[in-house]
Amino acid sequence: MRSSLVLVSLTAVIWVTQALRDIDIMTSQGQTILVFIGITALIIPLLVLVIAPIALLIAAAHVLNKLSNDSEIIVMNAAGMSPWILFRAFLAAAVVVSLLVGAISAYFAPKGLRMLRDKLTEVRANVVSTIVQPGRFRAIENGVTIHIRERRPNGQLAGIFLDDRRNPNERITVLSEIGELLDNSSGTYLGASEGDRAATRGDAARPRDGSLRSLRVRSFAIRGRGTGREILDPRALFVAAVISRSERSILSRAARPVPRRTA
Amino acid sequence: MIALMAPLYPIAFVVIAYAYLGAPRTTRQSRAVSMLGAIAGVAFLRLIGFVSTVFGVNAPGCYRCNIWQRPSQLALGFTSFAAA
Repeated sequence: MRSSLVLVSLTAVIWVTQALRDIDIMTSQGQTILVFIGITALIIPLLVLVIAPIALLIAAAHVLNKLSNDSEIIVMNAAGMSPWILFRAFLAAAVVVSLLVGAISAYFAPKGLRMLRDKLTEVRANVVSTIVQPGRFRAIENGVTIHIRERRPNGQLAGIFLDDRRNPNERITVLSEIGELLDNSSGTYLGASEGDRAATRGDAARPRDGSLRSLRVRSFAIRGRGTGREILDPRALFVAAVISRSERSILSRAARPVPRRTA
Repeated sequence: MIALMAPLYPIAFVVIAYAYLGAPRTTRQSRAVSMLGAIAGVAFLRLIGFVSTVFGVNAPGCYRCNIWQRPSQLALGFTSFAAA
């Protein structure tokens, strides 16, 4: 009983110090406090693994100290009781804690840490949707600038402007009314519809005569680099290629609706 | 193996605490030294555990230290009981 009191209070204190290291998932990733608590609580089994024996020690030392103070131990000794008999009570408590620690170290702590890693990766990778802020021109990587007017509650982006100058031979500018970030097995896409995609051939700074090709499209997708969840650097998720209407097969794969993850 | 040795910590800690604080004493005898001894003993044991885990990553021989420390501590504790 005493041991569990000590265990709970010590674990709470140390959990706070550990949880604050991941406070960025609330501040910069825009997650709710429930997600934050849910994710950081996964470290608790590991803390209990280290703290439970110490809590037991504190409880045992307290009880022994109290027994000594009340002259119980010396009376038991004077009555001829073997010290082993008193020790058996402590051993029983130790065995209970030992079973708990055994279960945690063999199963719960590794499982908790694995889940923690997975969830943190998911939340951090999801930063794609938070890097793009309404009303701000953001240079995502060299030569790519994006701007959106607003983010709708259903996850759609409205009023998208995208300028892609990474290819020296072709500058691509996209203006579209509605877009959505799509996540599937072949990568992360910015799908957009109701807009224009304008490609300028040649040196972007000095377009040749008649090189501007404007294409009015119903929808198109902009593909991210790499694939899905292996990506840890959120910036790597972003625009690598603009896929035009001629590549509709890729688009249709990209446009498959996907369940939104922790958002 | 390391994970399987973890359950021995609570037992070793209780043995240490009992070895230091379980001996009969009158209320006039101070228990401060025993208390400090128990805490130091436990801290030392736990420290060896942490250190051997950390260094074991590069030098696997250190894990042997982690595996043997608790059984040897238990043996030591029980011997000290028997002596008392």
